[in-house]
Amino acid sequence: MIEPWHWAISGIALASIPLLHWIAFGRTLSVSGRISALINRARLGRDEPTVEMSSDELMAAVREATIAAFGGAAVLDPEVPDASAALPTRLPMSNHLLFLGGIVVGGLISALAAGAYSPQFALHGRTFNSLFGGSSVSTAAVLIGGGMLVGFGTRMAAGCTTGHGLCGVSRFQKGSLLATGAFFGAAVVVSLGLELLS
Amino acid sequence: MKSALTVAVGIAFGFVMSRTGFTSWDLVHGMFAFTQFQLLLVFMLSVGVLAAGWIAVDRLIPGRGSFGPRAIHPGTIIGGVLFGAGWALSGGCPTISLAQIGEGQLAAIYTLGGILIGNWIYSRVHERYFKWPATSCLDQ
Repeated sequence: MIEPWHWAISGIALASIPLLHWIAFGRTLSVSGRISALINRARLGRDEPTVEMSSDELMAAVREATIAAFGGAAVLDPEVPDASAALPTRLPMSNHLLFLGGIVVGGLISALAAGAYSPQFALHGRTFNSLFGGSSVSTAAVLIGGGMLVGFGTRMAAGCTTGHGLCGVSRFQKGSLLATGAFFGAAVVVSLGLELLS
Repeated sequence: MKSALTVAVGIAFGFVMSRTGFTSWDLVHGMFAFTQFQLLLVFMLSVGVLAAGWIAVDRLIPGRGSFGPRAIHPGTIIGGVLFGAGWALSGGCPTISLAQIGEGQLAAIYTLGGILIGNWIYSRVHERYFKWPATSCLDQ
């Protein structure tokens, strides 16, 4: 078992990650989004082209198309803005794999540093194991089933704990407040139900 | 350089995730059943620090970019509910399952496999049945 840090240290450390990501890359920290990108690549052999643009990006694209079709004279200030800079760029697959792989390595380093690395085909937790850990089949069933709901739901809601729960809520974005309320509420209901079983 | 930075932020995220307690199924269950308050406090403090952090970053690094509005559609709530139910059962959100695998809780490979399958199923279902735009946090 890895002994968790005090909640105050944990909270500050956890907040530093999305900030770091934003400062370093200018993008919202996103884990389910990166997984979606990997799935798109695996399914389609290319990145999904459909991205909803912000109005600035749309204007920049319209402007670029106008210049391309009618020449620089068709817009008032053809030299000033760099339209392509405003368009969203897609991250390469290697970037997603490096980031997601990094999270696994981070967990490994944490366990090794705590002297608690003893890999087992199980999940830690007394309550979990008394509820589901009776056999490897029941563990696998609840984890695969739960995981499928997580994968389906996060893609449908366009975000997970990271993007909606941490980043969106702290920016008071309405979509994220709704999504976070929904996933937290559903998790409370299911967990209280499990509590009755245990 | 950018690759090294990407890996470094990923590693930091996995390490912190592991030390907050979020990789413990029991602590996650305790947060949702209101029997353990470690993670609830971690989450609330983190959101508070972040809210202040965004303002500070905006002041210190002008032009870092702006946050676009998030699309709201029926999937925001329905997807959220399905995700919440899945998290309460598996104890894993996408990040948690990756960090658990690293820690040596190898059964989280099942969770990750489920997440990949679920994501794939939704991508197929979405094309056929839903009209709202497909976005992700990376586009923000």
